[in-house]
Amino acid sequence: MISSLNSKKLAPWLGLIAGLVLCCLLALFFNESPWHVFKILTTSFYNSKFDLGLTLFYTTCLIFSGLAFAVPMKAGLFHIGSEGQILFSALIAAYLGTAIVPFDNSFSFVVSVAIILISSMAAGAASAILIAFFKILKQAHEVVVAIMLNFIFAAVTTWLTVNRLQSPTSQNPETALMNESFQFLKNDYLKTYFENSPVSVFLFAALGCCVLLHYVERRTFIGYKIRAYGANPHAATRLGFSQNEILMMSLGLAGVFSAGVGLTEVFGNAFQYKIGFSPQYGFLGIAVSLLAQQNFLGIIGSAFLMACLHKGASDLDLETERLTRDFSRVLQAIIIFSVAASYYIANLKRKK
Amino acid sequence: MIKILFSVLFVSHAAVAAIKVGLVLDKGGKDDKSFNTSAYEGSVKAQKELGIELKYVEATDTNSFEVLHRNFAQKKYDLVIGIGFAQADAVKKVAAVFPQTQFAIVDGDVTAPNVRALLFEEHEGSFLVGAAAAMKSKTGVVGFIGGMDIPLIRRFQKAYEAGAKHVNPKIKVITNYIGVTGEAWNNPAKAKEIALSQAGQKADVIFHAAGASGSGLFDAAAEKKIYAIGVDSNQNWIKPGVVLTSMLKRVDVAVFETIKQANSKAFKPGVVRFGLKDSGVDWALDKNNDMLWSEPEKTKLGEIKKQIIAKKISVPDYYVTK
Repeated sequence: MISSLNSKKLAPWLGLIAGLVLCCLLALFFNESPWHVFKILTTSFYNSKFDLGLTLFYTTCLIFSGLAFAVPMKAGLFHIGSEGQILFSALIAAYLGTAIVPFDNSFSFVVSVAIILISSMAAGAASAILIAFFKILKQAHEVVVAIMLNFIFAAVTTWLTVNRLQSPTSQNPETALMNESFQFLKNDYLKTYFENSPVSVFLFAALGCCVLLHYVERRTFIGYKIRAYGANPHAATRLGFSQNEILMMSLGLAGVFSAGVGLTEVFGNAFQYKIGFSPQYGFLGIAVSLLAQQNFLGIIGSAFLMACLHKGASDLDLETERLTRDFSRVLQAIIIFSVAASYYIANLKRKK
Repeated sequence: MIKILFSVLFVSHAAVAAIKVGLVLDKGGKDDKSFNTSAYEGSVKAQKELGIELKYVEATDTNSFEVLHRNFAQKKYDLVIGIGFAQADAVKKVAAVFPQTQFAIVDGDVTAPNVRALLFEEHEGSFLVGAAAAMKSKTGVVGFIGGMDIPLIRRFQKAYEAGAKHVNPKIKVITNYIGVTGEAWNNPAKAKEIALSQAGQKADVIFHAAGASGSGLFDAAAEKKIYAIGVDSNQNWIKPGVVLTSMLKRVDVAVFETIKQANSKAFKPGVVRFGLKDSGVDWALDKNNDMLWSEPEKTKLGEIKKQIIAKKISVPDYYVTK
């Protein structure tokens, strides 16, 4: 029992190392030194403070999108609609940031910041609860609804940006900058320390969410209900737990975490909504969550790993002669694949 | 004798000390056969002819532009060129941090003491191919396929319409956009679908401004025996006889000239606009489409071109009028 537990814990790390070795050997086909590739992949995230800051920014976004997938997964829902919710909540935050003008006192300022944060999260939650509605009312499968909604939200946000909220001073497809006073994260201590990179205090919010969820999952009734429903929906409803409540709750929470990505981008980095800002965080989040097997604390680690790989991808292109951005995607896939495979192998051993 | 030796050594040294150029391509990548390809070709030409040291990278997302520009500057590259409007913010930010490095940006309006902004008057070229489309259309219906509905592409669309109406005031212009996400620049299947549907509505000349998606239009045009118009690079060669002409946006020339300037230590910062008058935008006529054009037609287009340059025809500019 003890040895199997250990091997299960060690498995992802062994998988990670195996994946890295495989990647580096693959570089031999392209006449690149495996050692060189290994060095880039493992060190590119802290070349400079700016690089580390950017990696932490990616980590923040990936933690949030990882949580947006993991929470509904606890209730047995395969939630892939995070991307659409990210776009929608980000646009709402950017719009309110330009529309609200706070008075010259700190109280109204705090209130208006709170309004922006809460409306953005509410927008994320509402767009996620739509999925629950379709599931409850029409028994539609959440995967189908979510993937359709992704397109709808992409279309809506793009249309609104270009036709209604387009920045008058710019020819790029983006909204105007938020009011000066809402850009208070622009020159804060964290940004200055990391040489003005995109990282912001939302990193700590993301870490806090992970710890909080870890507690909620294990120690509260709500957490128990969601887990019970995920384990066996029929038994859970027979026990008297409301299916509708659980679906709405878990998807609503997922929407709030999706909004976390949107806020990290709009409130902590760009201070405006730019079309195409997201390198599909919503889908990367699925990989992050699956790597960590929906363990809320594990998501921190897997998000950081994915962030390093994402950062390393552009550096591989820059630092080597023949490897391009497409090759670095292959590397990402191999590493994710080998880590996932290691879980499978570890479980196989345990069954024997 | 020693003096001569010295001078020879010095000269050969000067010839070897070519500059290092970093090229940051947009998300479309260097093989979009269009905008990025054009930039890439310009820099490769500089590499061959001027012997500069070239390194190109393709960005993964909007936040990675800044990192790539920074890394090039940190590695002491002499000139860093950003391709595409999305890099404007990154160039503005990084150029301020590295005042010793020279930057250039295509399609981005950035003013800084060490930045050369290369802008194109796409509306002038689009007007011209719009006129060309109307001249060749037998049905009185022409089509436009844009990538995403963003200001830059509307600039193409609006001038194309105006150009077509200039030749034939009764002409009908059908406009469709491919998508709402970045995928729209790389979705030939959807472009083909749209082109077929426009052909179904009797359009017999279709112009695309959709990057790598354009190849779908060329397939559809060959299938339906109608004409297509290419964009950015000279795309006449892709389907000779089907591609009526291409709206050239000479990013390659702009990139090459900029590298040449920097290489001979004559880099001039500031905003440079390329239009019809300096062949920065133009319509393409070569052996692949020459048979499609009769002499009177060529003269007529040449006339319109002259009138635009002389400002006798006013071309609507979406950036100005909205």
